[in-house]
Amino acid sequence: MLNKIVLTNIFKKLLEEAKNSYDDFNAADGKIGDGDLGVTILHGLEEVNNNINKFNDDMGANFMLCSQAFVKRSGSSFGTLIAFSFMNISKNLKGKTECSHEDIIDIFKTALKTILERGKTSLGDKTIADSLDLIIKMLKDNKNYSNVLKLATKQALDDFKGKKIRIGRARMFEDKTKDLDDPGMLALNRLTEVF
Amino acid sequence: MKKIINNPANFVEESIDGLIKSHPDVYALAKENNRVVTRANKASNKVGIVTGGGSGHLPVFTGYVGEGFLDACAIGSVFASPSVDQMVSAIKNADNGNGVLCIIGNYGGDVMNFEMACEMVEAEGIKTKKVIVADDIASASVAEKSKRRGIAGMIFVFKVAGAIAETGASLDDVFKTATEVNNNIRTLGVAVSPCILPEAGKPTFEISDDEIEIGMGIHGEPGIKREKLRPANDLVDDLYNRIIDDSKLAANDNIVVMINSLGATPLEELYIISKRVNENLSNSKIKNIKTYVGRYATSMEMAGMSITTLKLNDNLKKYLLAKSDCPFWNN
Repeated sequence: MLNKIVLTNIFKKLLEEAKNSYDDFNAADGKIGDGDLGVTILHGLEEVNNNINKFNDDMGANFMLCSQAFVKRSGSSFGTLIAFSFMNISKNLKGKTECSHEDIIDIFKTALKTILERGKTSLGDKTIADSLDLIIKMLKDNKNYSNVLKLATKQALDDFKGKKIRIGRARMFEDKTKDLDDPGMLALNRLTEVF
Repeated sequence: MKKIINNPANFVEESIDGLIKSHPDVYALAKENNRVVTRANKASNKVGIVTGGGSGHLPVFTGYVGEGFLDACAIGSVFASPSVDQMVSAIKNADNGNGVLCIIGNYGGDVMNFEMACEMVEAEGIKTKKVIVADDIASASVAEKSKRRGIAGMIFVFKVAGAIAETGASLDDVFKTATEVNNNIRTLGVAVSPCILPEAGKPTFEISDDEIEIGMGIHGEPGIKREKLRPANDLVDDLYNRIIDDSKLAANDNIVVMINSLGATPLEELYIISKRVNENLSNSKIKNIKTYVGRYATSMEMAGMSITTLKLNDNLKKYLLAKSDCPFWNN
């Protein structure tokens, strides 16, 4: 189950992975965007970890701290989508000290809904939303979170090989994006290595 | 890269600092955020007008802070959106209890970050409304007008919104009039050569010496077509006809026109363009109330220009021509 202690450990590990993958994320983003994905993820996670001692038993409050951290340190739209997602997750978890399997599925559903709405994107556009969608589907019959996260994010990358990115600045590169992974999907896959 | 700068990493902060030192009677830095510029003399009883966006486009965005224009501006890195935090700071600085209108160029990061900033300040009791400027006719069809990017036409929105806010109008009324301006602006531009981002040190796009691109965005976004350079009159006629066709301007309509340099294109060339635009307007019997010629919305040293029209009624004309105090605007 997910509680304050587990969440704290997750964010500590995510920060380490963000440091390790910093250049790779920037490079992947630089091929089709402004090359700041590594910066966005690292700065956001650094700020979360700077405030991690403020985490308390209320999981809603903890996710709000995460939202505020990304708001403070990120100027990119990806960072804002993450901040919006954490904010909406926070509202759903307000007052909860432990998250059940259903709560965990809801966390991913909330993130997906937020990204689709705020990012004005659709499933199939080859974005992080497609990875989240697959995670939600796989979690329905599987509580092995580590396996699901790794498998789903890898399969999402494979499923979209040869397909164009249809949203954001990347869409301007048209067919070139067929041969490239979406940087957000790639980053999510890499970050799941910590689980 | 040849630029008269110091450390590229300090490009934004040093240019803001210079702007404020050059015009201390107009601009001030927000106390709690060094990427937010406010009016030196803050208004006390009016709707606040705020914008924000990436650096590299001066006078857009920060330059239009001033009496009768904007109250505050959030400033991003070069060609990058400001953070939500900076936008929140700009909104709070502009608010004096009458609400804040956010005028936003239609770029994904800017719009999304302002949406979040508005939600955050509204939770603290500050009422906001948003106008998303979409005047670049090259970036989407009439049917998808709301998807168009915001470029030089946004200055007309700043000016009219700023002027009506000075009269003490309500947030709803300021929003309504700013929206009316947004619906009546059309811009189309042409890029001749790229600019170089200070930290990247390389051109934003590549284009041959004898080529231009019609409709290219101010960050190098693809335009309508790339073609060989042709005489100014031919080029202007092409742009003019597209704007007239899109806007449905007709004989006896009153308009103002902006002939804007993207940075490197000199005034002489702008006046050659203005000459042809005004000849065309005269032939179409469209009444041009005023022509604005100069650097209003730039992409650093990018060469090229844009033409903007704003269809006026008596109300919009009054506020557009109202007195203001801004170093980059002549009434």
